[in-house]
Amino acid sequence: MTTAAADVPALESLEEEGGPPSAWRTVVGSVEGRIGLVVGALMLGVIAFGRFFAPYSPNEIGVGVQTTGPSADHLFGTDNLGRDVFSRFLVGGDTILLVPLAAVTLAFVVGGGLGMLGAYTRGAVDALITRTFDLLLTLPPLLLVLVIIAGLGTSSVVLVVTVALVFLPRMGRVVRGATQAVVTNDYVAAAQARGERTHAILVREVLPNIAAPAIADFALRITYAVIFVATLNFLGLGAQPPEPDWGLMVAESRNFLSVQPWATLMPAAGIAALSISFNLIADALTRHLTREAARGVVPV
Amino acid sequence: MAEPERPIPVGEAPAAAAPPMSPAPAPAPTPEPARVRTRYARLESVVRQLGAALLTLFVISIVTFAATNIKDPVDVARGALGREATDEQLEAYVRANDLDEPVYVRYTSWLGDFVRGDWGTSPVTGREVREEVLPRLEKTLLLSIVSLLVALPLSIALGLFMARRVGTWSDLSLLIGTVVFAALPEFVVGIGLLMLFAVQLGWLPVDSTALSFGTTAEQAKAYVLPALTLVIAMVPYIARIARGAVREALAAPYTQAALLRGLPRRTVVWDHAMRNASVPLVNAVAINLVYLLSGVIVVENVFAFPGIGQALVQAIGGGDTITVQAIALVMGAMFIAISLVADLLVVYFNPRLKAATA
Repeated sequence: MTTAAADVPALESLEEEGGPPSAWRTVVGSVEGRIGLVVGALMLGVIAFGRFFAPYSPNEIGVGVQTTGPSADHLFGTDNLGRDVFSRFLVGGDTILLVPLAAVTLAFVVGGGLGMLGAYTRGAVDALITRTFDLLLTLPPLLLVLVIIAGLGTSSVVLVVTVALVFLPRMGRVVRGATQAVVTNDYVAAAQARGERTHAILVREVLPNIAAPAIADFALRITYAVIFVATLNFLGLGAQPPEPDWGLMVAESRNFLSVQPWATLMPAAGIAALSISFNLIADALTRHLTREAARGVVPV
Repeated sequence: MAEPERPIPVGEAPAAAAPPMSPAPAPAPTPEPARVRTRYARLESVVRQLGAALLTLFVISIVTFAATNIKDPVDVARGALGREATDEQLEAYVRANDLDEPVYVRYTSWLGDFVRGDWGTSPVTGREVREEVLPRLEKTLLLSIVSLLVALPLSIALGLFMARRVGTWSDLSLLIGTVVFAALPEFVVGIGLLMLFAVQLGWLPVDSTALSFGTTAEQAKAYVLPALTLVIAMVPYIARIARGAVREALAAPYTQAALLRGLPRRTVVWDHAMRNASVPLVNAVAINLVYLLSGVIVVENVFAFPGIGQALVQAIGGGDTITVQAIALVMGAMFIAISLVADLLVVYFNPRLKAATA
């Protein structure tokens, strides 16, 4: 109790001094953030290093009897082609981590850059950028991505670019809003008076001051992108067989759910754990930013 | 597929969720002009929303056509005729389908045909696309609407419940619950429900294929799991939006003042807070509706539900461009129409909004 009471004013005074709130402290300081970090670290460990512990080759057909439940030889059983589900599970988490990371980073750089530029320059440029964002926002995201994949076929590059296209206007709007609040500050005017160039002002004066909302938004979008890419893989429009991928594994073993549920449930649980942990971290960050302490409010 | 704009931080939420309230109307000498202006305001907002919907559809049609026409005409012909087609056959196919025309000519004739009801014939199934799609559209539409009718009241009630208990144990645990559920992709939710209700308990069918041939009771059962999955995917988002909107209204000075004046809580919550919360709430929900409805594509594929989402994914997998184009446009129109109807219903039912949205 006392620590919590002491922490809140400390964090606030920190912000009033203008120092950026520490994202790390925020996440570690909340229960949901801590759960998210632990689960997330565990999942990252499985995705990064699991492949070194796989007992069988993930794509080798017939290492065991087809569609059997867990046994000493096959921890999660085998799938309908007699492949070892445990090995495929250990190897299959990388696309749903790497593709979202690449896509959201791309969206952040392009969308955030445009958003910052718009909020800084105002006028016609800003109007053009905002209208473009608004237009892109009206398009149903999944439909947009599916149509593009229908035209271009699927590959990691297509996935990254199309998913980035979905997130670009959304991230751009957040960055633009945050920049609007910052550009009126005197230090921006001072930099302008010194004759600094636009990109120098944006990178050196604006960017550090919008870091907090940008990081929170980034974390949130990663969660969404993980869901998005896992869904595309599930629909068979991302990773292609025989690649061991969690989303694809769920789709491939769905029809054997009543016989060998492990082949479906384990990859589904992997996706769920990864995305839940990211979402918990993002939520901890976001809630700190919006600081929803309801002080001085009569409870209704 | 879910990933609406959660009402968050800096910039975004205020812009999206809180439209500028129209300025207080100037004191009118007679009530007459005020009423006239109100009627125009309502009409104007209807016209504006219709225009925005049409513009969005237009953009969807352009994007769809552009994306599906990036391929070289010869490749398209080869895709339709098979690998063994001779050059003469390919050329004949290109000419017969006007693939040698400039893109904008093909676009206008495609859109013109589509609007007139000629959606083309699928080169893969050899059937008329329109006859294939329309019965499926009915089922998809019904599934979406049923899910929305369950999800909207449920999530708004949940949001209100949470907003009235901000900071308490029940609010916090529900909040974390929404975070957990919002992080689950629709297909994971669907598989979980499938495992529980179809495989373990055996209450419901493992897929929705009964829709194509089953009895009425079987058909009704086929809707339950897909609809439930969509509801579970939608509720966490809308509940959070509702919680944010109601919370803001409850903390507003007018609510506090009303409460301190001694008005009954019931009156304060419903007449003061809820009415004001409904404006940003409706806006945020309308923005996210298109997003949330996309989940129907995934859900149909989990449950082998014979709707247009399943047909779309099959058509993409089979390289059936003509069907993809038709379904993309129909589905875009369906999403936009549903959110438009939601918007208009609210304008119609809530007298406050006729001024607020204008």
